[in-house]
Amino acid sequence: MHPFLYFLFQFAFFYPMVMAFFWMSGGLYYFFRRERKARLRDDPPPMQSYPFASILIPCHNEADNLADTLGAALAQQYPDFEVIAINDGSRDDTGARLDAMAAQHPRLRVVHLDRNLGKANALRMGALAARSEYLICIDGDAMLEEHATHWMVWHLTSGPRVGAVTGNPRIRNRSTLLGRLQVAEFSSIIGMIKRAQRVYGRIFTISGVIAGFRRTALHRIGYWADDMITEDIDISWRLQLDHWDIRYEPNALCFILMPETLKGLWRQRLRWAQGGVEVLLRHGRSLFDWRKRRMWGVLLEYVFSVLWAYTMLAIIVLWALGKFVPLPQELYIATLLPQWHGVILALVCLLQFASSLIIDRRYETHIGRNYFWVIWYPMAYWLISLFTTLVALPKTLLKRRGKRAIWVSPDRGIR
Amino acid sequence: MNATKPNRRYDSRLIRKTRQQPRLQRTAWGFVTIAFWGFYFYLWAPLITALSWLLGGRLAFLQLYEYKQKVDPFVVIALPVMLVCCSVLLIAWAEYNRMRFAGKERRTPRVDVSLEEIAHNLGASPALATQLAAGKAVTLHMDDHARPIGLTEQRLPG
Repeated sequence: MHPFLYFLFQFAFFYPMVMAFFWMSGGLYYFFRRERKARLRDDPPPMQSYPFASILIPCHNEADNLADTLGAALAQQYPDFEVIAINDGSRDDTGARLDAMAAQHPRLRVVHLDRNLGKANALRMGALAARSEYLICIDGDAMLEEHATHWMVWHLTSGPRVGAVTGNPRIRNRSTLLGRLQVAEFSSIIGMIKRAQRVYGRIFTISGVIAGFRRTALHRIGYWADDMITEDIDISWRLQLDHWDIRYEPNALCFILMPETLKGLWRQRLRWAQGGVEVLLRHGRSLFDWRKRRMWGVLLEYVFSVLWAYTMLAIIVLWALGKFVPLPQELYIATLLPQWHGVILALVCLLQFASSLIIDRRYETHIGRNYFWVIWYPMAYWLISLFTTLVALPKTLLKRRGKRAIWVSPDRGIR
Repeated sequence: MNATKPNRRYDSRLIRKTRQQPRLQRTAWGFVTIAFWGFYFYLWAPLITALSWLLGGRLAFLQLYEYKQKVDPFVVIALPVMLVCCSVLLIAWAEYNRMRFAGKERRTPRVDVSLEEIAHNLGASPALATQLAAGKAVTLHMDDHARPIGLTEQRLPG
């Protein structure tokens, strides 16, 4: 085998393994060191004072979800708060329903924007309308667990340089295989990565669906950027580059709806991948600064994931070429079947999911049932990551700079 | 005394309506998953044959040598070493930071930003910002650069 090809194969195999080892050890360490003996979800830590909090909910064509979303937000077990729904130029009857609900609930305020200018802008106007320094931002289809606000405000008030805190999204819709697969993915990948990154000290992104912010921190960095495809990745980077700490609170639960069709899933993941590439292009260069060294670990992890996607592409192209064109023996790839390496990869994946079960059974019953479906995990996660990254890089490079990102209603599965 | 332990974990808001998906799709996905488990177990075949060889079987020779599916000794040794290295590296880093920074606030707190400053940053006039912060239900008029330029109080039903 040609040394270069050998190197590609080694990288293609060892990169996911090394990452899985970091995620597993970081996730388990976080759980046993900080989480296992901590207070339970429904017993958040008492605070010396309970500052007023603002829950911001940007809504675009959310008429079907308002009762659930606002019902959960208004039912928060926190002494003093307001809920601000920002209706971002909806074309359905979201506006009328919000007005009707505002008439009934004293804590609910409504801001209608006269046109659709995107989620980032809706959040900016929410921050302007808020009467509090502490902003809890959730999506228009997400249900906050009743103690979530308490947990998040507790973090934001626990240190003067805590700029943001992100919660623990739980998937509500689990009717189809794709739904269940994402349950496994959120446990074994997204939850693990968040914990491992907190152990490292910096995180790649908050979950935009549930995040708390200190308004002063947002102000210093210029609030949410309205030309980024995923405003959450960008804001996480800018906050940390301005030396704000971002916490992760697994007890701050939020129930979310995820796509249950391949098309919906592809669109969502492509958007996430584009968001990563955008951040890399926008902030990558500014990180060559000793004061920003703590972000290097997160940056390297992301750069390697992009390189891995292109390494896989090179291997696939070489294999396919070999089927039609005679290649030198040292460049010929006989099969893409992983064989022994596949056994080990699959074993590590299943171990990773088993580790996540140890953590997640604290939050959910019957989580182990999803184990049957995770045999799909290596295929689904790594292949989707691979193809979305391959498409996202050129798509982002060709995107017109400064173009405003507006709402696109996602697939929300079977309800 | 057989009182049930209160369940502090969370399930009640989950949506499980498997039967809302067409039967054909549901069955197809089930078969695909079983096929993947089958493939996974197939990948284990060399080990199973190796075990059977240890017990006197001859298949292992075919599987491991004739079919050239040799176990790479580097992988067998390197992976556990890498697992230990990754864990030690990350945990040592975390504990070092904990020891150095836990309970200590090195950075100075920042003064909370005022509504006027926020309004200025977001392109609104201070008067509009005050009106917006006081409103119960309002319509905000925006210009093409996403700056708020006016506000109308919304009449609520009832």
